[in-house]
Parts: sequence; structure tokens; C-alpha cells
Amino acid sequence: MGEESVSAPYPRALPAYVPSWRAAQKRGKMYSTVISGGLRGIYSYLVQVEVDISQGLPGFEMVGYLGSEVKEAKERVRVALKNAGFVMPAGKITVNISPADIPKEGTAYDLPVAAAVLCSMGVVPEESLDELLMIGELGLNGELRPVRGVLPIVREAKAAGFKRCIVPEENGNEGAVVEGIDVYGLGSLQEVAEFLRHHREPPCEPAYVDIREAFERPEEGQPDFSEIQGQEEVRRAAEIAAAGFHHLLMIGPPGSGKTMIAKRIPSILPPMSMEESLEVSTIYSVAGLLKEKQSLVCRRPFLSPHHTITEHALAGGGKIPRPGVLSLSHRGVLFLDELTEFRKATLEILRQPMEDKEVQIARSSGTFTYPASCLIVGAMNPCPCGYYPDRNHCSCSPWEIDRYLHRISGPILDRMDIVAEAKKVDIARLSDGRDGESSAGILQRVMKARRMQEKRFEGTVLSFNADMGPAQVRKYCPLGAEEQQMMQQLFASMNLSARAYHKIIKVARTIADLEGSGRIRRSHLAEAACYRRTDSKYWGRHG
Amino acid sequence: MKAVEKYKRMPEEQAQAEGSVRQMQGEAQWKMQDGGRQTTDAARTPAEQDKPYQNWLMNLRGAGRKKKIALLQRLGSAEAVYRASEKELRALAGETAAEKILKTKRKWDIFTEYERLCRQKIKFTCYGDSDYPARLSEIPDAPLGLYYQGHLPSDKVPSAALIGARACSEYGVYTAKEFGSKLAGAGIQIISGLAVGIDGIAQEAALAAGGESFGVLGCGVDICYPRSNRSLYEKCGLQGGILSEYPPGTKPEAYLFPARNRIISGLSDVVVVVEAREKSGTLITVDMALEQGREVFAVPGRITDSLSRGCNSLFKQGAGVAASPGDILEALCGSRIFSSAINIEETVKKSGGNTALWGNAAVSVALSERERQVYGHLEVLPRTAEEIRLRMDGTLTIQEVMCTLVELCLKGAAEQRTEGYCQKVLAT
Repeated sequence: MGEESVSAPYPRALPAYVPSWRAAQKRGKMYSTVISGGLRGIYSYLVQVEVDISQGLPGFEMVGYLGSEVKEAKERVRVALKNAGFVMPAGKITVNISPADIPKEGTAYDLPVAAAVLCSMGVVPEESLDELLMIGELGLNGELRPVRGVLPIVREAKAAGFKRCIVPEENGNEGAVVEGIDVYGLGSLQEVAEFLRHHREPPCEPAYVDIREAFERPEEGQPDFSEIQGQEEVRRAAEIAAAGFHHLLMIGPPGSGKTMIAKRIPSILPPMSMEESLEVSTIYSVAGLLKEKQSLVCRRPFLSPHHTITEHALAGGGKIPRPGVLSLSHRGVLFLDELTEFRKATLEILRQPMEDKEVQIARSSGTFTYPASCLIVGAMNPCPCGYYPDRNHCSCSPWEIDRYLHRISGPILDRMDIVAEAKKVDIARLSDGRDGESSAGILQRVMKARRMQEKRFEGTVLSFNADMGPAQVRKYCPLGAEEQQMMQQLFASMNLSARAYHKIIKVARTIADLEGSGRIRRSHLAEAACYRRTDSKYWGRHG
Repeated sequence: MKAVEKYKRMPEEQAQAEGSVRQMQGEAQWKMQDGGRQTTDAARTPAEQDKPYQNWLMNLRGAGRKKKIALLQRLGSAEAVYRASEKELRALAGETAAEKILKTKRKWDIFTEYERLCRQKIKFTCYGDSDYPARLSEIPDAPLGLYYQGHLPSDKVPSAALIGARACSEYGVYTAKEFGSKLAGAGIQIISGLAVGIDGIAQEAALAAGGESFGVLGCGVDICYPRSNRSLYEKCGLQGGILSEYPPGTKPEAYLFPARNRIISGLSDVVVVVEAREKSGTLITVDMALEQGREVFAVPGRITDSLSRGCNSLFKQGAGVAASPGDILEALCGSRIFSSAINIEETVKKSGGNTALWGNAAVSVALSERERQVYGHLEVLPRTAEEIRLRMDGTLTIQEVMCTLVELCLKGAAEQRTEGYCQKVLAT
């Protein structure tokens, strides 16, 4: 193929090298197969795309439990082949995507179908398809367009022992993250044909990304904690939440800075590990949210959905469910501002993910599990007008306040490890101009706590204190006699539930980590208890 | 109900005849049932015999309270009103009222209704009965009767009404508790409206202190309103009483409540307003108390708080200053011969020898240096941890202040409120 014909999208003359399909027929080569990948939730599996060209009435048939967008591939492939300069054989083409009992969706099968047809036609040698996986959508002009889920599919290919992958150019960086496999980002069908024809010395280099550079690139324009004056209690609560990944609920009057604090939490979160980054990137890849040329999600996500969000958008949904906001904020922060304004049914959805750190969605097509280990930060007012307990501003009746607060159900409240109260900031405090501690300073302590947790949970699936279950609390958080006695006192005086009891110990563990203390001391428990007392102040006012 | 409809459709004379037969049967049955319990007709006091008829009279619509009381006084008993001839009624109550009385007489099954009342364990007293509260009979528009659960407030024991805003502040909660428990502890009956806010909190505290408390409702005594006060409603029924002038089953309606306020003030010797806004239901009660000649006290608050305005305007009009529960006790001891009923000594002892009865007996606990410092910055009005930190010029970090406060709470030296932490008296 000449250089011009590759770049010209609509070649006027047929390239001379195109052998007729009759020639292929003469060689007895009518069947070919290409390996590609499919997605199921965040997991991927390998599929085999089989193409057979036989004599008969010319036609194009695709089978294998295909969704409508997969079936449409035949039109795209036919026109793309024509416009790339290949003559479709006038025979009966049958495509099967195996395993044929799993529903297929998406447009990533265009390229493998086209490649298998080319192979059947004898345009590309059969051995060029060995140990090679390819995915990509085709445009009518023969160009390759980006698809969802490249990262998990390439990882799956690597695990299955494949040596090379062909992906659309835009997805090249995404695939290049996986080490030990060559990922080629190609721009068009012609380039793919060229690549396959010269598969022994490929005409282009595999895609490469400098992961370390991506991780270390400083993020600009991040809001900083130094911009917040006062609100010591909530700042401290945010610090603990960030260090141990504890769910945080902030209550306070309008304008007290709850949203400001929440927006600054990403600036004090410990950086993501490579493994975490791969997990998050996989979810984003599956959701098709990785930006063009972006290789990995290197910063912890921060999502703040509006309170009109539906259950499906939060947990994930669709006939074949896509990840919802909960999963998109995996390993990051999900900030729910005006928590009481969310619909009750939507909030109740949080129960399972808050405890199990994953979302399970059952649909007719199967059950899908998406990870959802996010730090949930809620912000709310204490009453409809927002100013309770300041009775000079607030004249809400007790039952109005009750009704308002009880929009947050007991189980959700119980799952909040830290409940902190933002107070009205007085003007004197605002104007004295003293800045609060900067994010960098807080991050230092958080990192210290992070390292202690890493050491503690080495070799386990846990990564943060908040992930501990009751058994792990017993194992990793032993209490001294004096501390035990204090917990008993607290248990009796605060009327704690068993869950709350463990939460106090978990939060106390994080507080101790922030201090660098190996043991949980009385003062750590006392402070942790403080963050559990706030909710009983509001929700248990009559109790 | 079916029976009632049947009578409606019947010609008048027939209905009358049948009705009276039914009444007689019912009466006989009632007497028989009672006979089973070995009480003879003679053993029953006349007042008791009159009860079923009084119940009818109280349920009677068509004649007002004044007319009913006039009838009772003229004819001597409710039974006499019931048995009065048409002519008599017309002469005494007027044409329309007599017509209505006669009509309800036919519909109302006296004994079944009374039995139902007994089954619900609801008692009642009627104007003129010996157990009718004496204080209440003094007031200009005394209720015809009172339905009650538990018992009625005693005439021999002083009583105080503790009233205030429903949407109250933490300060109001604190003072209501203090007044409720101290006054009840001294043996004073606490009367209030069983409402959310000051009313309920004061009554709760009174009951917790082992005193008696009476709740006057604006609905039937068998209905707990507001529902959130269920436990208080039940406790009140055991350790005091639930009172209402409205027949059981009456639903809570907004227009019924101002009228019940006159019973609250009517049953009390003094009315204490704990916290009120400028225009509020509490001040309606105060107006009624003044009309009834009751002494009114108000608890001072900060002049900057909108919840103090009601009390401050009362001071301007000459209300007494209730700076401590002791002030109320003093007024009660002076005005009536209740001094023997008031148990001041012990209350003062409990209050740590503090004759004003403000605060609790001092607790002596050992405090560390830091706890002592933080404790020094606590007050009766709640302060937040952050405020305390600022007052200490930031010598401690916020987490240190918070820990110390939790320790103080565990030691019983401080208390947590919605607004923050406040102090308890300590011997240091």
C-alpha cells in the first residue's frame, strides 16, 4: 500500500495489492478468528470473533447474543472496508462472537470483525493475529474511534498471556498503563491493515506513558484549607475523616462554611497508590469517562451530585448497569450537600455501600458488582430555616425540627463515623485575618496516619481504619484497662449501639495514628466520643 | 349508631315511649351489674348516682356552659335536669335550648355511655361536686365538669402553673427543668398543658423529681396530643392527672386550646412564665390568670433574646420576678396557709444549702489542672468547645478542649446541650 492511499480517506482507485477473495478461496482460507474483549460490569472477558466467508447469496450475518449496537457493526464494517480501499467479497459473510451465550454490547467489536474479514479475504496473514487482541469502533471513513473499557480489557489480555494489543489512538495511553504488553494506538483501518501485514517489524512504536510523571504532576488551582477561618472543630473532623477514610456528616447553619470545608477535603487526602489508581481508572474506563489521551485517574475523585439525583444515577443503572456516582467516587470523596434535600429512597441506597464498600445491582441481564469505597461527606442544616439552636433566628417548632432531622434515617446516621457541628462564624473572627492552618500542614499529619495504617494492614485487604469490621477492631485496636473502663462509661452514658461502639474505637484509632501513637489512649477515645455525641444532641433531643 | 338512626325515623311519641323503656332497662341492668359487686343502691352516694346524668349533660350540645350550670343549680342535680318536664325546661332554658335538650335526651343512651366511660377508666367531676377543684369553682367561667385520668389536684396542696413557649431555647429548657424539679420537690403540684417545649419539659422534670404533675388537655383525655409526649402523658396519668373539660374522643382542634388555658391558670395559685415570645399563647394564659386573680411570675432572660420579650413585657406590666424557684416558694408560703405542705428544708438541703434553690448540690470530684481550667470557662448558658478555646486564648488545641469536656461530662461536672456544654455546680 502506497503512502498516499493510507492517508486518503476515500481512495479513488483500488490499491493494486488487494487480492480478490477468489484467490483466498483458492488457497482454501475462508475462516478466520480474532480475539477481542467484552465488558461485564468492571470485569472484562475475552471473546473470539469468528468470520467465515462462503459462497452463496452475498450477505452479512452477525450472531452471538448481540445488542443492537453490535449488530449495526456490519454496516459500519462494510462501508469502512470499502472506504479504506478494500473490496468486500461477494459471498455470504457470517460473523460469530463467542462465547455466544453472554450478551454483548458496545461498539468495540467493529475492528475485530473488520480485521477478521480482512484475514478471511487473505489481505492480512493469519499468523499476524496470533497473541494479539484488538478493540475499536470504526467510522464509515475507516478511522478508529475511542471505546469504553480499554483498561480492563488490556489487563485481561495481559493476564491471558497476550503480547500485543491494538486499540484506537485516543485510548493508547489508557492501555499503555498496563505493563508487560505492547499496546499500539492506531488511527485507522488502513493503519491496522498495514500493521498486520508487517507484524514482524511493526511500522510504529507501542504507546508509552510516564506514570510517575502523571502522579507527580502538581494539580493547580486546588482550594486550600488556609482559606477557612475558625470552625476548628469541623476542620479537625475533616482531618480525621481524611486520615482514616471515615464518613463525615457536618451540621450547621447556612454560611458557616460546610461546603467550603468539604471542597477542601481532597487537598488533605493521602495520594492514591498505583493499585488504587488502577481500580478507579478501570471504573472510569468502563463508564467511558477517561478523558482523551488520559492514561490514569491519578487524583482521588471528588464528586458532588445535586440533590435531585435519582437512585439509578447514584448506585448505577441501565439495562446493563453502568457505574453510578457512588462507584465513580470510589477511593475518593462523595460530597452530598444539603443531605436532607435528597429523596429518602435515594439516601437509603447508601446503606449497603457505606458498610460493604460496594454496590450490587441486579438486573435481568445479571448481577453486577461495582466497588464503592468512597468517603461520604454530608452537609446539612439543623432545621428548615437553618439556624437552630439559635432561637433568636430560628422559630421552627420542635416537630418541624424533628421532621427535618428525621429525613436522615437512623441507619444512615449510624453509619456516619463522625458527626461534626459547624457554628455560626462571628464577624470578629472573620475579620481578624488570621489564616487557618494550610492543607500542606494537615496533609503531613494525615500522611503520618496513612503510613501507620499501611503498616498495620500490610498483607490484608484493608487499607484504612474505616474499613475495619468488628473482628479487626478487636485485633488491631486493643484497649488498656483504663480505656476499657472509659468505653464502658461512655457506652452507658451515651446509650450507644454496638455499631457506634466500634465506630468510636475506629475513629479513636485514627486520632491516635494522627498523633503517631501506637496505643489508643483515653484522650483519643474522648475526642472520638465527641463526634458521636453531636448526633444525639440533635436527633435524640427528647430522649 | 344504628339504634340512633332507627329512632330518628320513628314517629316522635313512639320513640319517646320506646326510649324510656330502653332507658329503664338500661338502668335496671346497670343496677344489677353493680349489685353483683355487692353494692346496693343505698350504698351509692347521691353524687355517684347522678354521674351518668352528669355525663349526659356535659356531652349535651345546644346549651352553653352557663345555661347548664344555671339548670344544675336550679334543679339540684343532673338527673333532675334529665327528668325535668318539657314545660320546666322551656321555662328555665328557653325555647330553642329546651328543644335541643329534649332531642338529645332521646338519642343519648345514658347508661351505655357511662359504662363505656367506666371501662376506659375515665373519671369525671361536675361543677358543684365535692371533689370539684375549689380553685376552679372560683373562676368566672368555670368548666361544667372535668374528665380526668389519674386524680385531681388537691385543694390542700399549693399548685403552680409552669408555662412557656413550645419552640424554646436551651436556656428555657434549663430553667423549666430547674423550676419543675425544685418546685415539685418541695411538694408543689405542677400544672401545665402537656405541650411540647417548656410545658412538657417542666412536667417531665417535676415527675422525675418525684412530685405530682397535672396536664390539662385541649382534647379528650383519652387522646395523647402531641403524640411525641406519649411517655409523659402516661407518667402523668399515674403520678398526677390528665384533665380536660372536653368529653373523651374530642379531637385536638386549634380553637379548643385557648379555652383550656383558663383551666391551667384556674387550677394554680401562681402562674410562672418561663420563656415566651411577644405574641404567644402563653400570654393568653397570663391574661386569663390575671382575670382570675392569680399571681403571675416571669423568669428573666437576656434582653437580647426574642424569647425573653414576652417575659420582659410582663415585668413592665408588674409581673413578679422569678429569679429562682425559691421566689415562687416564698410567694406561695406568704399568700396561703400552705406552709405546712411545702417541704422547704429538704429541698434546700438537696440544693446544697442554697436557699434560692438554684442549681444542684455540689458534687465533689477531683479535677486535673487542665479540667479545672476548662471548667472555669463553663457557665449555665451553654458554650461550644470553640468558644471555650477562644476564651482560653488558644492555649489548648481544639481536640484537647473537646477531650477535657468529655472527661468533665463523664465526671458529672459538665453537661452537654444542643448549643454546647454547660456547667454543673462543683465543690472545688
